[in-house]
Amino acid sequence: MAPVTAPGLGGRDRAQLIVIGAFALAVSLVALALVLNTAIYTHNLASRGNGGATESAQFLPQAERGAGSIVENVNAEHAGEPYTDLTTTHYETQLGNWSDAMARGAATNSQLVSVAPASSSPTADVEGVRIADDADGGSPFQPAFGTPSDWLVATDVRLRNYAGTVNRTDTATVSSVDLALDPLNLNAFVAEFVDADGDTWQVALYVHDTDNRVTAKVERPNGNTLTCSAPGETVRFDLTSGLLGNEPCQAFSFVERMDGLVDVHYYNGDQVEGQYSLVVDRTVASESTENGSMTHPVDVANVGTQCDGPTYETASSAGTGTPYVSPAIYAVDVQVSHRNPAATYEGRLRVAPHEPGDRPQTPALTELVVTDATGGDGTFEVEWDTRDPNGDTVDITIDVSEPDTSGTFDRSGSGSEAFTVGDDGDTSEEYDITLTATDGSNSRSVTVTHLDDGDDSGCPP
Amino acid sequence: MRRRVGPLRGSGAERGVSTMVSYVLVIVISSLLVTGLLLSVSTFVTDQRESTTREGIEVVGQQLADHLALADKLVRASEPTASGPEVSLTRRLPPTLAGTRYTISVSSGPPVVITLQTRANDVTAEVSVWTTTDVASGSLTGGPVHIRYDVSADALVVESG
Repeated sequence: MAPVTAPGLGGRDRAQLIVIGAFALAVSLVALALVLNTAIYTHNLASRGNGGATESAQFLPQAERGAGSIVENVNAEHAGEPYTDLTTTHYETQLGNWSDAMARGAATNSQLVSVAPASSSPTADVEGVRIADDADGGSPFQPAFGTPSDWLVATDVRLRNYAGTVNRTDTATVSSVDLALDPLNLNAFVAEFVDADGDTWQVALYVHDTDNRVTAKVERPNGNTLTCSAPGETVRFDLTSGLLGNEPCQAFSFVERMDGLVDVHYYNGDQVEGQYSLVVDRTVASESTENGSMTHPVDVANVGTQCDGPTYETASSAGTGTPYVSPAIYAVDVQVSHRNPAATYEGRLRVAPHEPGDRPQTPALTELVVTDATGGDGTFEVEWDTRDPNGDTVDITIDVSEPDTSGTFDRSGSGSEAFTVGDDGDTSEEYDITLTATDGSNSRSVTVTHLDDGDDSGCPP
Repeated sequence: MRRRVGPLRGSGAERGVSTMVSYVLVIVISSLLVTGLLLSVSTFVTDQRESTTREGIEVVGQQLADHLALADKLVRASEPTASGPEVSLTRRLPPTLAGTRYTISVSSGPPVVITLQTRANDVTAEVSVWTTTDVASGSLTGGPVHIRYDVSADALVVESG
């Protein structure tokens, strides 16, 4: 039988259309496969890690926490040592050791890290004061000069790392605390925080009589109250971390927003027993005295004049149940370096562990020494030094006032000068000398009282 | 007697017509089928390619945004000094997406808007990100990028890396 073919077409030309069509289809399918492959690649790309850049971002908080624990460890373990020993001997050595240990660990992970003390700058190594009352087994929250029911703990300060413990058995057991009343009329311990605008927060710590739990009740400036409680014999409170008995306490959340200067008052310190410590951004003159810009205004408010040991003792009284002040590191700057194949970071971090709110803005008086060489001449030599957290220029106003007259002098940052006001030969007159440091928008002042008796001993000196 | 098989006698002009008709029908039908198939497959491939490209540049844009946010975080956490902080991040983004090259343009916001556009099929994607640190505007060819902090301008700069 003859093959069936179209006229004029040979056998070789048969089904060309099908072949070409099939070929084109095949090409299209290959293209589709490629496109789908790209889609898979995109998904792969989307789910891939970012090649190590995140590690830098994770390292910064790690470095900050590490340096922060070192600062807190140095402040607590080396209380009573001078500022220079705290920073250069202890803090810098410990930070160096920690950085070396961390660098070794990170090197196995293709990372080069280091954390070092930052070179000096206006904001590096801010000196502060650690206030603590840490007798073993606790003690009432009372000052060194006796057992008053209310006293000023600190004034015009930024505070951080405010924590302590409360012993349940030695703390007042009450059914309720009405914080709308004057705290002096309550039978429970109250800590009061007043900010620069006059807003007041009161924190009552007591044992509730029905459930026998240590309870914290906080009254806000608007009158609202919040309460939390925790079980146990010794209950830890941490105001700056917002914890009571290691559980989050919503009532303490106000501390996190307290980013200006505050005054701290204690009322009914005899109604509670335990320990507490906090770090503030003022200074004491040295490790061997409680005098300084932190304690002067506190002593003036509590006993009317500043003298050694009215409100606080020095760190030699640590553990005796008397509150004491010691030089401490308030904040440090660390130079952090982190390198891996995908990221390079080299920068400076500010470390102030458990500091609520934003960084401080207010200048601090780091030194204030008043000497009276001759009695009755109305002349006092004042030596002062300041530090501004932003490195701004600090102006100083010195007010000297005595019962009959007063004088005001404008000076700058630091200096030493004799001021004469009311040269009337009266050696029994008390002089109030007030230094106000201002950077233009924020100011802070310290008042000291002296007697024009020609010596710097006694009280007032 | 054996019957002879052969062409029908009589109307010689009509011989082979049915073969011809069926042949033409086969040709027409199969070309319609093949053309239809090819058209639909190629449209499908084009659509797929476009959506894959769009997905791809969106992912790339988001990764760039992620890196900008990360760099911003590093700068914000640092204390400003005369020389720092030094922040530099590298991200190996693909130079082509679904076979086409693309461009990245960054417009300083806020918010910062990252626009990516492919050259061949004109697919664009926009990703926006809020940063505290300023980001310098600029445009660059797709591929590995490098984000660094320019201390003097106090801004993040995106460059081809």
